[in-house]
Amino acid sequence: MSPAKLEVRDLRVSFAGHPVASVPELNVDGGEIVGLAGESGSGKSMTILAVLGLAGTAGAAVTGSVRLDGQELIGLSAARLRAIRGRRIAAIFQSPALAFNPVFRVGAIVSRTLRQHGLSGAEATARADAAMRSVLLSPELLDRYPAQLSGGQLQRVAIALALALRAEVLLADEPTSALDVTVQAEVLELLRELRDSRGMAVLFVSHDLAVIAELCDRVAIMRAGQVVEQGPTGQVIAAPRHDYTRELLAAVPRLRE
Amino acid sequence: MADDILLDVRDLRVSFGPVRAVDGISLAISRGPFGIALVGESGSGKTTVGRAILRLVPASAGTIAFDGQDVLGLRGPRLRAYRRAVQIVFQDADNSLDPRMRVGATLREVLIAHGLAGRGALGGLAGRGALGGRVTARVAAQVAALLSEAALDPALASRYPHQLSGGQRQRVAIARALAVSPRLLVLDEPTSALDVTAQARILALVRRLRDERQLAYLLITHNLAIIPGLCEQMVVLYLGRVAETGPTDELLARPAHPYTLALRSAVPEVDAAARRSRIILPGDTPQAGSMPPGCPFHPRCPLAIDVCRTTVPPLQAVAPGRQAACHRANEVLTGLRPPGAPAQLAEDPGRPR
Repeated sequence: MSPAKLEVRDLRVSFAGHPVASVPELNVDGGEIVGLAGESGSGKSMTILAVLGLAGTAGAAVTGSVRLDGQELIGLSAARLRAIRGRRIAAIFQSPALAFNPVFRVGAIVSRTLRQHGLSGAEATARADAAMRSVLLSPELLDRYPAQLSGGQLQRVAIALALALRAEVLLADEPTSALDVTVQAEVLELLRELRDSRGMAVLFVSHDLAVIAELCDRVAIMRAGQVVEQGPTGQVIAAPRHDYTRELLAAVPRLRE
Repeated sequence: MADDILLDVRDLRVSFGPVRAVDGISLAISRGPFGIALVGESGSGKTTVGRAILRLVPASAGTIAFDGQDVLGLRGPRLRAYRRAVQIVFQDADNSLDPRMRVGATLREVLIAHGLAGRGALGGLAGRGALGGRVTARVAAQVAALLSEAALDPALASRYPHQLSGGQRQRVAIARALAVSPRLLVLDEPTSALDVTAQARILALVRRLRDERQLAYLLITHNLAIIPGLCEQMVVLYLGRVAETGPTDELLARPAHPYTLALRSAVPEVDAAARRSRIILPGDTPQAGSMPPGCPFHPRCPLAIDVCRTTVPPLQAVAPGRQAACHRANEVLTGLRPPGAPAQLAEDPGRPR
């Protein structure tokens, strides 16, 4: 069996010897969305930062293994990591408004990122336009400032940037938690399309098991830094084995009581 | 006017320059225990309605009556008394609590500002001419009682907001609102900054207070799923106007407006069986500054017909106690659904690999 696109093994993140996240095993393959679920403080976001090689900047120590197509990322030099992060592994976050520098036009941010990863100015423009269309946004929005776009539009621009870079792995950290439910439905639909048509590997973090149930092929449930349960989403939701999973399920609001 | 109406809003309008954020909204809130939900996307005007009720933004037209008394003309001490009777809890407790005040000080400040400090838990005044120290002890007891009521450890009184979790901060905000024994609470997206676990606890708290305090509340939200069991009535807003209103159970079971259908279908569901075909609304949440001709919803409506593009549908009765502003309300009520909208989710329960 060929290795998964993204393989996490024995990943441990700690602050001053105090462990905050521990993931023994997590695979995300191309064309697959894997969920990481748990409440605030469970270690989901630290796991994402560790995979991105950014946990160190937050002052955390990281041990274990993160492999992209079999290549080890932990311990890679900053320069080598920079070529991978953004280019091959893209990330989107909860607040797209914070992810875009407010004083630059959206297009300037997008094209600078693309040029940094080796594209010429003309290539960058063409790719950015095409990527905007594939997330159903008009390329004209690139001329606007972040504050002139809605939260849903900005989140789609962030996804467009990942597309323009031809990223193979997308790390999505609560990308819809700050959005209206109607806009959330749109963004989830878009992520499904990226999985199916582009074969992207998506690691999706959320506190909401309903969103996970709708989107993810497999799910890992985290609590207090530990993975307490893991498996195909349908199975975990239908027959949760851990009490904490049952608690999370019970917290989901339902239209019908 | 019916005696059981606590707050009566009629044809409320709020404009910011040329933008009509609230464009003629009427709603009635019964005496507690009673919950009414105000639902819509960002930009629908729901927050502005809440703020206009509290007189935090000026209404440009319409009337608001509280207990039969005109609210928009209140001034001075009577306005202050009104603001004690009607309290608000904001979405973002991070920003609505003073970061430099301990939780206890925040609650004490409210009690002192409203002249309630030192009143015993049973409502009696502290002994006249009581020593300062005794009053202080009484206030501390009041603060502790408020924290317990909001399901918080009274020991948290000595903490600063940043030392609390998001859910705890929101419960402090609720305790602060309760401090003045309000009769109406405006809850403006009280859980949308929280994770579902903390949300469930806040909603359980509201349900408990509703009975214990005989509270009436206006719950402002974009998520239909938190309304059942909490609000008996709901009002759906679109671009500053009422799209549909009526009893929650009926509205959720059988919407009469395509926008309510879309909001309902956007709610993520855990149970595969409960997932319906999704209606994705094309285009972005519109802005009140650029109102289309005809029905404000028609550019995104999957059921729009010619008349929708030219004529504004009036809000009219569609069933007992229910009103909707849609030319096709009766068809929607009897089962008309948008074409296409593949039942993608129902057929795709975790793709087999």
